[in-house]
Amino acid sequence: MDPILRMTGISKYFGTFAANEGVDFDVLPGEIHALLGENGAGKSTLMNVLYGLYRPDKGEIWFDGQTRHFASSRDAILTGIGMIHQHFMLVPVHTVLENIIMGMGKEKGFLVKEAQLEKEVLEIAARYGMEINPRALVSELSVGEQQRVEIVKALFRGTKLLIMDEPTAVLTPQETEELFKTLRRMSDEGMSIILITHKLNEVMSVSNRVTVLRDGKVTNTVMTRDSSEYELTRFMIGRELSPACREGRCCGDKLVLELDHVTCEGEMGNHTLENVSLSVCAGEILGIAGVDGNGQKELAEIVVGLRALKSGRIFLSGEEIAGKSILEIIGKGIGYIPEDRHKRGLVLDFTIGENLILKDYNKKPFTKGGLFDFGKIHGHADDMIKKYSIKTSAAGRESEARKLSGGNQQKIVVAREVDKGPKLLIAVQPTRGVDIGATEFIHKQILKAKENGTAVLLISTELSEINQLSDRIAVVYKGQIMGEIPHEAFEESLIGLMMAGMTYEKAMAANRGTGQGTKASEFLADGHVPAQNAEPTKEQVNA
Amino acid sequence: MNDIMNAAFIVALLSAALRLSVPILFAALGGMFSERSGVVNIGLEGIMLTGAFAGVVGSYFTGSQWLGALVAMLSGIALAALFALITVKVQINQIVSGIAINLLAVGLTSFFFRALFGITTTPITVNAFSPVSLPGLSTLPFVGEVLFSQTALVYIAFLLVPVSWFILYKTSWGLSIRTVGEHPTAADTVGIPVNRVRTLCVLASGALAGLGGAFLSLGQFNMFVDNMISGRGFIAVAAVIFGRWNPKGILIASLIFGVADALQIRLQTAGIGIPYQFLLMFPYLLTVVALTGIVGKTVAPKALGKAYAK
Amino acid sequence: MSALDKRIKDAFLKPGARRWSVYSLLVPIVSVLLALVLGSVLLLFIGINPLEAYWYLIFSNFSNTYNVAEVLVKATPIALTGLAFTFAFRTGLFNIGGEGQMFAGAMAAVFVGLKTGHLPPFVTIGLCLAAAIVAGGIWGFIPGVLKGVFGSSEIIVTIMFNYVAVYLLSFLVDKPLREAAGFYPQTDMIGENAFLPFLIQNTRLHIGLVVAIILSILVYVVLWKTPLGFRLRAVGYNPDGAEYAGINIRRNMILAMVISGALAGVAGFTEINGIHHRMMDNFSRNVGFDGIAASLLGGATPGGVFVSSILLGMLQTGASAMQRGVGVPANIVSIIQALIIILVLAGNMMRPKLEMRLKVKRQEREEREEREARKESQGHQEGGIDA
Repeated sequence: MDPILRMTGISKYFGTFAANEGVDFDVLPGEIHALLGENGAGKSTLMNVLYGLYRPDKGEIWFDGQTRHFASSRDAILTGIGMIHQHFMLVPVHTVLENIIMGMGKEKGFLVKEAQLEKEVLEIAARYGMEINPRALVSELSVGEQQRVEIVKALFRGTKLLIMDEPTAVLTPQETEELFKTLRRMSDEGMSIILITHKLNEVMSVSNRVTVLRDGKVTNTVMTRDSSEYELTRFMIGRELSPACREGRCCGDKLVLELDHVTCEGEMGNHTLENVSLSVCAGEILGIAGVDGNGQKELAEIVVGLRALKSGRIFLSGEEIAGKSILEIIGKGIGYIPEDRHKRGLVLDFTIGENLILKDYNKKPFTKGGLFDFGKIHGHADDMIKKYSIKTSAAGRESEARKLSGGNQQKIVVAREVDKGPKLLIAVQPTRGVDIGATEFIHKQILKAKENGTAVLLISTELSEINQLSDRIAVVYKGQIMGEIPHEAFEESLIGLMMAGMTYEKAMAANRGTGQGTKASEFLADGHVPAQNAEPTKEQVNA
Repeated sequence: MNDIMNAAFIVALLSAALRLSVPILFAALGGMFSERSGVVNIGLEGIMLTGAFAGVVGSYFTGSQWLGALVAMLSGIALAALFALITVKVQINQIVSGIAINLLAVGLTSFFFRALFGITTTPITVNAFSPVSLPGLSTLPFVGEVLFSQTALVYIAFLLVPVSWFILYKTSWGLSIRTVGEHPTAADTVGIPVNRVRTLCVLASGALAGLGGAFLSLGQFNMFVDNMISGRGFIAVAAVIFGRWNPKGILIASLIFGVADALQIRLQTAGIGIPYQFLLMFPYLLTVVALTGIVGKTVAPKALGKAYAK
Repeated sequence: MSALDKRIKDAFLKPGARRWSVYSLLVPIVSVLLALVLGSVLLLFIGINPLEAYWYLIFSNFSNTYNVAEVLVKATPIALTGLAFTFAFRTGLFNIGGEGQMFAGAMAAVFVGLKTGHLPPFVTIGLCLAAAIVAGGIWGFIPGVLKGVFGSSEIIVTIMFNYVAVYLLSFLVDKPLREAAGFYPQTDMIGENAFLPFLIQNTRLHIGLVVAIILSILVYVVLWKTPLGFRLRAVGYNPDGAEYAGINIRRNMILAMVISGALAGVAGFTEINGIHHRMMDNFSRNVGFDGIAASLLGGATPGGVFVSSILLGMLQTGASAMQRGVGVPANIVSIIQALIIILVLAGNMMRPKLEMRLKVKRQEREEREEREARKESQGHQEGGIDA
């Protein structure tokens, strides 16, 4: 069978940086082709080239019978290429219909004929077994539903090849399975799909073939059934990993953070957190698992005072801190690695040195008599750069944070928040968008803090991260804690059910019913901690 | 007797209010298109000034107020093209660019006014718009006098309200404009040329603000003087916010400012105890009050003020 | 990062490497020249020899001490309103209300000057200055609070407050503070003790210039050398990040607006106590907007603002000479001024792109040379790899 897409020798440079170099890539009709690689391996660049958002510096694209030169995404769309980005390209304040038809003026006419377009949209959705409501506002939809709108939007444009960028990042395991069903159905109908991902289990479960990228180059293309997760990891990373290891457990009695029936309201008056009770001890890591947008950000923000709570109490080492100012709360010894380093954690136009004193700029020794002591500030910056191996630009400590890579930016935040040895460390998505080297480094810093007696509240949507670091795991869904389990009872399917909104008890029952695993139930039935059983495949990968 | 006086007073007031709201309405509708696409245009003030000047020049040299209005629109488009070039293409901060455009307009109009007409003490006279009574309608009591005995530009301005609404909400252009202003990246991914849409919207705002300026010089004062816009362009920007970025709201906002302005003039001539300067302040203070959102919270287009670069 | 890449980056980014400053001077100089060239098109349009006109525009300023002093006289309030814009700008706010804040300062200064002009100079001048600072501060405080509490656009509010100030001033000189003679809409002269001392005999250059210089230095120190400035700049660059660090955004925004307004208020003080010694309708118009121009030209740094205000002062005094000399409407400087702003900002925007292009080109050339050198050393074994 002839491929529908063939990309040969694609190179794309940004300034002097080679995001893609000599990439060969092809896709067959009706194939689900996984494009695998770590952050920054060049997956997105390659796909943006294919989608007409970037022009390649070298190489050729051959699609659906002829060589193509896409000047814009519009060209790509017109030839039948669709793309669903990781961050949905939907306008929240517009209706589903408006989002699906936008940019189609030339094809569908100057006047918007709502009734007729609505019919067309519903027909397409029905053909692939999807339900959508064209009149709803996108802002009212769940993440899974928004993704469906994206898929219908692509299909509405007559897509023959659909690119999906990390489609499962925001889905529960169950929603993911639902999505994969839809994808399989689309592939049965002859549609080609490119799945960009860094999750090996997804590659294994849904794709026909897989191409692995590393440092902008293809390391291998293999049939999925002929490969293994272990082999793919090697292609992807090129070396063995030495993951950070957990040691020791909760000390049990030195309670540091305690949330007592905390409820907080969102902008629309809805509850973003409801009756949340949690506690974290000194020297312990409590992992909060959950699908993005279920109240994790709010949880972190109410503790540090960035967000007001409606009811409930928060204690830090026995002292009530709710209602105090951010400055007071921070001053009590809380380190906070925020979810979004560009928005919260850094002032990108400030230098490394300035960012490192963002919370201590008006304290001794950096300020003396109302003026800055630049000797001290520079010394501190140099120390931190060395200690946390922050790679600066040529300007050294005077480099603006903007000019650094994501990993090094995050290291600034980690250095600032961890180095003072806080009582409590809140880490939200501490390794999002960070390369594997920096991820390892950051994980080790978090574990080191824990060993030094810091209580750690780790909030992450990456189950592997939660599993790797946490002593206890709580699952949050729609602002409520679905349940809490010790690390020994970690089981992906169980956590997945809880992430989808089942309480612990229900999830246990359901999980037992499917017969997927019995470890957790065994553990809790007799209080016995099982020996090092074979963990799910993910663990083997990390080992 | 007193009642008749009051009725006449109110007719005159409302008629004036309608007229005074027109320049703001023109410019604000233009500003709406620009802002809906994501570009704040505080250069409206300068564009109106240019329109007022060009209208007089056009009418003076052609003898036709209609050609004057056309020249005003073209000059507005020209200045808006410069604004679009520096904000959309070169991507200079939109506020700063607006300030520069206003400064440029002040210079250009006063320079060319002196260059063309010399330094005169008596204002030059040109053909201006005169009221057109709509047959039948204008004879209606009260309503006829207020609504249907106005100049042609007034009718055009009010006709533009439903037209703008239709374009914005019922056509693919409107959907593209709204998408570009809310989520330019999404627009880009479906092939909407973000910066071209923005440029066109800015040009539209130039044409409309130019016409608004021409209304002042050709439909109201029948002459040009330096700085004659005196903040109406800025008030138009406020009217866009106050009117929540939609034509209906903008119509209401413009009318309110029109009434405030008319009231101020009437009260001045009525010789009541308040110093006239305080009455003059009224429209500006009203704008400030409108911006506090006491009258209701507003949500701006998400991408407003942010340049789009791939 | 390749060694080559590093070398180039070093050349561009190391603090010691002064490549940047060449560009940062080049942009304004080219912009001024270009703006003058564009202005000459207008001059030709009205049939005037641009060279002759520009001769007046530039050299009249240096013809005698009085004219040189006059440039500085014009520059003083521009520098102060420029500092005002700069201060708010660094906190992420657009204070377009320098004009109104200056008038507020002037109203306060003239009032106090009228009432206390008989006291010893040191006292009355101090009181006038303090009153101007307070009044300007209040005129900045109101938009600041509206911004902080209601989120009202400070841009529109400050513009509206310009008009309110103008009408308030017009009311004052019309009614309560009208001169005893009652003839013109203006106030009486303030007491002579409240006059600012002159710096040079027989010129109008007064000590306000020194005030402007001191405040420039003070603004620089506060913004870049103190925790307060750190806080304000953090709010300006990234309010969310500042909030996360425990900085109160609203309070700092309001504070910045107050200080900004106070700086503009001082301009009102120097104009009243230094130049006019009384207040009338329509005095010192557009100084607030000229300050914005100076700040934009000066890259929103106190030093840059000061230099730019002198440039603008030169243009303005030169323009009057030009009008007298060759009969060019003086308003042409507004055009030239606007063009300079646009060109400088455009130049700054395009600089990184141009530099990146130059950098890539140079690198490609060096790489090619390197490759060729290598090839030659290998004895031309393989050729035409990259034709």
